[in-house]
This record gives sequence, structure tokens and C-alpha cells, in this order.
Amino acid sequence: MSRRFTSLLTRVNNNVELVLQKFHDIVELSSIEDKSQETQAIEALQIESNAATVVRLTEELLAITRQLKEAWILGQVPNSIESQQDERLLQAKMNQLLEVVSTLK
Amino acid sequence: MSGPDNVFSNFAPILDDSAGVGQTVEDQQLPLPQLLTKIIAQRGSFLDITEEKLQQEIEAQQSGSEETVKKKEQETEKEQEFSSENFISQEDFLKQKETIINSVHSALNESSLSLDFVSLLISCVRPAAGSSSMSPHLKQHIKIGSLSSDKVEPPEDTEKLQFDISRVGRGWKLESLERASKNLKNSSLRLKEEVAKEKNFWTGMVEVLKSNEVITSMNIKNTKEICVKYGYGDAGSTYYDKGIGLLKKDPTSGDLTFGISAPTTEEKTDKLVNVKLYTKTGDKLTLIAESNLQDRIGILQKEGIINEIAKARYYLFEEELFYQLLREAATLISLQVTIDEDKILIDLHDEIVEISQVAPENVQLPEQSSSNERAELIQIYLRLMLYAEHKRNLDQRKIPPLSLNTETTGASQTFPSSIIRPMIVYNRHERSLKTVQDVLESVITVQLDNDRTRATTYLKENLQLTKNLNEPKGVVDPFSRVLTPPASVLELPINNLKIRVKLNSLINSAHSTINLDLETDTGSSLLGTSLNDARELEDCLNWAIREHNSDQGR
Repeated sequence: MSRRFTSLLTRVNNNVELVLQKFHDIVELSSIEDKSQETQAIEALQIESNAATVVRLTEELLAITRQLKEAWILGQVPNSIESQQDERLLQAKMNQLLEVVSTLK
Repeated sequence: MSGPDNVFSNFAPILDDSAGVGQTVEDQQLPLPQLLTKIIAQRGSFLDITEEKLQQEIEAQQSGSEETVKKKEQETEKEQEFSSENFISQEDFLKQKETIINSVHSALNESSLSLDFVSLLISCVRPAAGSSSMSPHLKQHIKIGSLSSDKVEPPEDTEKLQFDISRVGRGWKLESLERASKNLKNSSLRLKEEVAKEKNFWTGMVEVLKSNEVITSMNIKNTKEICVKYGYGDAGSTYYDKGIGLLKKDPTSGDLTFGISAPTTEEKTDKLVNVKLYTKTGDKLTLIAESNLQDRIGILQKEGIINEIAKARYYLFEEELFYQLLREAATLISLQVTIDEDKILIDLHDEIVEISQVAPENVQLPEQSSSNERAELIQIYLRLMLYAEHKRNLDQRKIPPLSLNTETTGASQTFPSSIIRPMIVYNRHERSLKTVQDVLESVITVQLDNDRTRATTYLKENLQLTKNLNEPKGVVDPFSRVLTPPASVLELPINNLKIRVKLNSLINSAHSTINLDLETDTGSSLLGTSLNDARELEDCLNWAIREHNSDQGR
């Protein structure tokens, strides 16, 4: 289960990075300089395709939030680290108590 | 070219030689037709050969023979030097031959390729000419006239052209950027709406979750759907409808909507279970009471997703209740329970309980009646009994299954559902108790010189009634009494006799058996017998007391 959430998190990171990258690309592609007509034509299309990609990536991010919420509702989200720590603390305390109780005087 | 190891491979001297006189040894060895062709090749047609020419030639040859001899000597020396340097091994020769052959092959190949190319090019303009020189392979695979050419004039003003190109490019890019920005803007608006919908949906979901509903996911038609379990399946119900509802998102507003995913295809109608009481005078039935559905329906009128779920749960329970009642009623014919057109009629001697289903639209406020409360209590009893039934099923599930090798008794482990039965059995028991009390009263009245008021007070003071003897002691189960057959004991001292009547009812047939015990004051038993009905009891008691009294008098 935790692997699934790591993959979700990496997807979030990847998507954000890609969105930035694609936006950067759009700005870069807007330059004219001495490019040939053919290059310009391709670049113009690339600009649009990049914009579409940005939209798609954002939609994916929304889908991820939905997945996370679903997982949370269905109780598949692992406990927070704090609560795990609490449990561990409790366990340590219990063990300590056992030790105290079981020591012979 | 087979021969000794060293073969002279340079052709030039031979050619030189042959340019001279055609009298070499080789020439002599040649067959005539070949020799003739050689001569023609060297000297031209025989028509051109004249006597003078030959004469001149011979003279020239003779005059120059000495020189030529010298020359020849020099040349042969040279040749010898040359040849000794340039004689090569046969292997090298073969190698060189091979390379030459390869080169020739590739040259042929290239040339035929270029021929093909040219013919294909020509075939566009003159198909016949082109196709005639085309290779069959090309003809087979490529359509004739599919290659064309034209002369392209190079642009003259490159600077202007460059400017034009950049201008066009700028336009294109501007357009693209505009489209991209429009796309992004529209998408952002759409996504914003989408986010708002999502938010709506999840607030609904949290609301459902907070109201302690069980939320699960299910695969319905290969898509994963979020469901809510509102039914009693997990609470022990064995009803076919487990009560699972779909939680879906409304496509326009994003609100959470609730839909029932019943396994049945037929249309379900919501109905409520209603209880009516009739009195029976002869064959005539008069309605005396009705349970109050109006109050309960009021709760179900509220809006909102949670109320919808609650409503579905409520109607599911009503549906199951009536289903279970019908099922049980079918087995209770012996107890005067009849089913008549979706109505269950329970005949309780002087009163009839009618259980029916009413659609919520048809609910009316019942007329005021003092027995309304009783009808209301009966329907509450029915509901509680179904809950008890559920709980019993649930407990049954917790029992670990029997191992296969132990011998099973054959009796099925499942309890028959009993919701109506206890009510009838206890009702009959109470009635029997009443008759026994009546019998006792009449016996006492006889003993007390037919003074009815004295008899009543005597009974009130001395009759001891103990009920529910079979109920297990020390068990804290609210339904333990309901499930045990009723049994009561009546004790009445009369003169110096002690009458003890024990009344036992069977849960299956509701039949009551009467046990009569007579004891003296000292505790010695005088009589112990089982009787079938109240009349026998009365006769027996009257007789026994009379006998006892006459014994005492003696």
C-alpha cells in the first residue's frame, strides 16, 4: 500500500515539474530569430501541443487528489507518523512496565 | 589464361606488337576466321589494302628492321626488368580479377539503377519510352509516371524572402500563442468548476461518513464505485437485499447523490407495515384500532443525502419485516394465521390482528381509539422481534463451524424465524390461565355456599400465581423469555387442602397441558394427574374436594 502512495507522490512531483518544463518550452519556442519557415511551422504547433499537455497534466493532478480522497474515505491511508510514534511510545512504556513487574525483589 | 606460374599480365606490349606485322607465332596458330577478323581489326577492310601500300610497308619494315631490332632488344631488356618486377603471384592475380569483376558488377548495377531512374523520370512524360527501358522489378513495384521533375528557379531576393518568412512565422506563432492561452484559460475555468464540484462531492461524502455510515468500494460493471452499506446485511439479516447504495457525483452540480443498487430488476415500491385490530362478533369484524403511521412517516420527509440513506434503510427494514412475517405466517396455519391478499390475519379468539403494507402516500391518521396504543405496541413488538432475529443470526455466524468428522445430529442449526409465534403462544397461555382461574373461582364459589363476592375476595387473598417458570435464570437477554415456552403455576389453599395447577404451553402448537396436584396440609400428596382441558379440571376438582370433605366428615 505504501508503494502506491509513493508512486502517487512521485507522480505529483513529476507532473508539477513537467508543467513548468512545458511552460518554459512555450516561452522558448516563441522566439523568431533566423529560423526557417518549416521550423517556424513546427514550433507553432509545438506551442499548442505544449499548452494541451499542461492542461492534461493539471487534470491528472486533480485526478490524483480524487484518488487520495477515495483512499482516505475507504480507510486505506496509512496512519500518520505521529500516531505510529504514539503507538511505539505506548509499546515501550508497556515493555518497561512488564520489566518492572517481572523483576524480582 | 592458364599456364606457367608467371604470366605476363600487362596487355600493352601485345597490343603494341600486334600493331606491327601480323606474323607472330600466335597469329599463325590462330584459325583462319579469327585471324581474318584480327587483321580487319588491325588494318581495316581488305578493300583498302593495295599493293603499293603493302610494298611501302614492307620496305619501311625492312629499313627499320635494324632499328627495330635494337629497339626490341632494349625493350625486351626493359620488359624483362619490368616483368621481373611486375610478375605477380596467381593468388594476387585472382584477387585482382575478383575486384575487377566486382567493380564491373557494381558499375553495371549502378548504371542499370541510373537507367531505371532515368526511365522512371521519362515515363512521366512519355510512358511508352520510359517503360520500355525500365527493369521488370521497377515496373512491378512502382507505378509508371510516378516520378516527375521540374525546374525550380532559385529565389532572387533572399533578404526580402527572409523577411517574409520571419513575418509569416511571427504570425503563426502569434496565432498559436493566442490559441494556447485561450486553451489554458478555458481549461483553468473548467478545472475550477470541476474542483468546486469535487469539493461539493467530498463534503457530501464527509457528511455521510460523519453520520457513521459504512462506506466501501465495489466493482459494478467493471468500474470501481463508492458505495454505502445502509442495509442490515452485516447486522445479521438474511434478506436477499443487502442494502447497498451507490454514492455518485451529480454531473452538473457535483453534489453527492444516492442511488439504490438493488440486485432485482423489478421496480421496488416503498411500503410501511401497518397493524390493525378488529373485534369479532360472530362473523362480523369491526375495526377498533390502528397503528399510527403518520408519526413515523414524518421523520422520512426530510431532504438531504443522509435522510435519503436513512429513508432507504427504513423502507428496506419494512420490506424485510413484511417478507419475514409472510414467511412465518405461511407456517402458522395451525395457529389460525391466514394470509389473504398481502394481508396477514392473526386470529386471537375474540380479536383479529391484521398486518398489511401501506404505501406512504396512503397513510392516514387513524381514528381516535383507546386500543390504538395496543396496535402501536404490536407493531413495535414485531420490529423488535425482527431485530432479535437479526441478532440471533449474527450470533449463529460467530459459532465456529463443526468439524466434518463429528457426527451431526441431523437437525438443522438454523432457527425457524419466530416473530408472530411467541405472541400467539403467550396469548393462548394467558387465555388458558384465565379459564383455569375461572374454574378455580367456580369451585370456590361452590365451597363458599355460592357467595360470589366472598369467592372473589378469597381468591384475591389466597391465590398464588407464578408465571414464566421456564425462563432461564441469570440470563440477561431481553429476548430470553420470548423464546421460551410459557409455564405458570397456580396455588390455592382450600380448607386443609392445597390445590396446585401447573399450566404448560408448547411453543410449536400453543397447546396447554394442565397438571393438577392435591396435597394435604402436612405435605402428603393426595392426587397427581394430567388433564386436557378446563372442564376436566373442574369436574376433577369438584369430585376431589367432595371426596376429601366426606373423608374429613367421617
